[in-house]
Amino acid sequence: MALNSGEILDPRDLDRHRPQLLKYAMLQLRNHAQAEDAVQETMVAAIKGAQGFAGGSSVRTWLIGILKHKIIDSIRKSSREQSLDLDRHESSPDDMDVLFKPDGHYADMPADWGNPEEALSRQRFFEVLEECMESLPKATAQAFAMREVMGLDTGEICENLSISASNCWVLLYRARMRLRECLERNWIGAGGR
Amino acid sequence: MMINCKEASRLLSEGLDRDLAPGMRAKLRFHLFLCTACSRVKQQFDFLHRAAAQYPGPDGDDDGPHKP
Ligand SMILES: [Zn+2]
Repeated sequence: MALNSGEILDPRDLDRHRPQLLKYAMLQLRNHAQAEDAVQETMVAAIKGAQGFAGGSSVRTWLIGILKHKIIDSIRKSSREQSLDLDRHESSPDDMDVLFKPDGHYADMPADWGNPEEALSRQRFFEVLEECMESLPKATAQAFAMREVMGLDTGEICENLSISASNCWVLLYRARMRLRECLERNWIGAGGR
Repeated sequence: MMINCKEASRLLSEGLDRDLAPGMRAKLRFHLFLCTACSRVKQQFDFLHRAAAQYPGPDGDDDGPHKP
């Protein structure tokens, strides 16, 4: 159904987006209670600000826009309460060593992905991407989500996670290397494209 | 000094998050010029950037623009 600006948003119409929003929040917060809270606050804000909904974008896009702010607030709050104890494994890039030979060449030659753009119109591709993001260690996944899903700059991410800039770059490096490997195995290699 | 693929891949990632020093940038560019593997990785990192920005993907049964 199409909602045009000026129409009133029905709360039931918001509710059917709840599972998707919860998944989105869980991916980044990795904590069920925090994710539920962020989604709940999003719903409240959406109902209060329903007139702010401009018909041009979809309801889901609009809700995700609100949710992003709630997620960042939540991450900021929890890192302030207890600084993220980044374990040694996550703060060092040593686990990337297995991807390379001792001489610094790739252990497995990265595949030619051809033209992968077409994947962006497929729901199945995003499910694979989501599974790949879920498989990352927590801080690695959070840093990647803030950087590439939410588009924050690294300064904001370090601040939100209470970590140093160099830790932040290591997390993002790991995330990208693991995700390219995961997509290569589960999308490109699985004949997804 | 030449850099290897391990170093190059790390610079590729960091280059997406901060400005690399000019010397580093030149080394990376030279490595990419010679190395098919890292050129692929660069394209894949760029693709990942576009894909993540579009997560959670097309709007399915929602009221957004419908995909064929
Ligand atoms: Zn290389």
